[in-house]
Amino acid sequence: MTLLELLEKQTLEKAAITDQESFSYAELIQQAKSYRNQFSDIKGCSVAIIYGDIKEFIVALCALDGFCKNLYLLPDRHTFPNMVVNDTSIVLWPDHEIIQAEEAVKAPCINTRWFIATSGTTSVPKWIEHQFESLIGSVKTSNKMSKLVWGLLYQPFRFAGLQVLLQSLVSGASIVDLTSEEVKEKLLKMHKFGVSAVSATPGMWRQLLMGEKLSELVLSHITLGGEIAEQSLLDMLKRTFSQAQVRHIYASTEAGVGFVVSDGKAGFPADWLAESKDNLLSMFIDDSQHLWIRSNAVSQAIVNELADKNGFIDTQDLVEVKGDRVLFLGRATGVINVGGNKVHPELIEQTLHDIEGVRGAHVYAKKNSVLGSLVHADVVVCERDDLLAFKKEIIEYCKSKLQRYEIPATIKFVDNLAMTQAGKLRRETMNA
Amino acid sequence: MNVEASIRNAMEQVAELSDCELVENIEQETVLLDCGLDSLGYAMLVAQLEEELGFDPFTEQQVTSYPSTFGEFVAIYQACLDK
Repeated sequence: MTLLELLEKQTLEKAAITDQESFSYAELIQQAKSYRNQFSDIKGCSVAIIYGDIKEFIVALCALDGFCKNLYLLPDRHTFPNMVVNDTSIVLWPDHEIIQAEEAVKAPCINTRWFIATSGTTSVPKWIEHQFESLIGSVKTSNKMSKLVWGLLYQPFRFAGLQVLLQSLVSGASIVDLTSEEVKEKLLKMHKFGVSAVSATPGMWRQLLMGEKLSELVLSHITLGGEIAEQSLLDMLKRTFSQAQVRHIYASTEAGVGFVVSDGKAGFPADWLAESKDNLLSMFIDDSQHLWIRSNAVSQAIVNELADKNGFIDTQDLVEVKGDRVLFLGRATGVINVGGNKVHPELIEQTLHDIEGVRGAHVYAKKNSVLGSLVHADVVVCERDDLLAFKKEIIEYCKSKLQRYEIPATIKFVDNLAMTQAGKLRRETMNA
Repeated sequence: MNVEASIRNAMEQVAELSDCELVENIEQETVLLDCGLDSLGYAMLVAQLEEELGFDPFTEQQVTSYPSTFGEFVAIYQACLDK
């Protein structure tokens, strides 16, 4: 079933809300159909969408899924030509300009292939192919879900944002785009439009929690994803929104949606390793602490490229089993090497976050002429005057919890943490 | 700015931070490795001084040989500062 067919089942009023107006499902569907008529010449072509606003984006997705051969969600216009790999001809949407026009190989197009660019961790985007069915594989529908108003904090052309958008659309809920505003403005809009469901990275949640008005919102669905959801943050969200269901999602662009943890605890139950959850998902940990995953949601192309002979994919996420939980330590590639000792920046960040008065922390490698690299921490604090004393406090606490080489050698108090466009902490930072 | 005083001060801080114990009476001739800081301690010292002074003489590739005494260590920083 295509996105358009799914939405035609919706009878609800509002689907998308922008600053000026809101749009019903019927309006969006009608416009999508008229686009199909108007641009019938691109049927079966490859199309690359440039994001304009949420309404136009939804209409384009509806019009193009099941209509075009390949659908590329462009993170930005400038990197566009480089990503065209196997297509001889691509139509740019909404410009309808044809890029690299040679002979266009049109295909019958019931199953549009979706391509989403990976975010952040490296400078060169990698294009991952998805099938629509797998993209909506984790969507939950219910009467209650259809009444939600989603605040969209992730860019919808990224995997996480598309998940939120499709959840909202397929369940018949409403969605407000909050991606381009400052934190303060995001919070104001959440109030204005009665946002009741928010999915964001832990880093975004910490920023939101710094805003005064967050706790006045009536959130019933809280989702964390994209980074490690720490216990302290899960607890804080649960305290702030006692009525809300707080869930953290484990997913990656490569592997698709992995699983959802809704018991309010960090990591996931260790017995999920033993049994195949829902028979859809199997996991194991290898000798280097990498989590491997096998999932029906992973597209065949990815399996062919990345999977071992049993169909498992190395997630490159480092985990450890602690009691009855499997906890995430960070990315295998984000590790800081301090004179031969491996330091997981996420672990240091978690330690810093446990300190009262620390609102956010970003730990990364700082080049050092003596040991190669040292641990550096950018720290956002609650308003405090005695920063020198607080620095000592932080170090004392770290000394009680961490190995010597793990303690941040330098700590800088900053107003904001550097985030990628996808809302994740910038991991590639390496200060000279 | 008195570079030597800055360095001595930074050494105290780093020693505390990295759980090292500095020897008493560090003189110009005192061998660095005998000062009480280990490699992590020195790495931190260089990082701390870079924060305070704005440069790390050991990455500038102006240093042809590593200092072995406290006096030489100070001299390298002083030379960089004088430039």
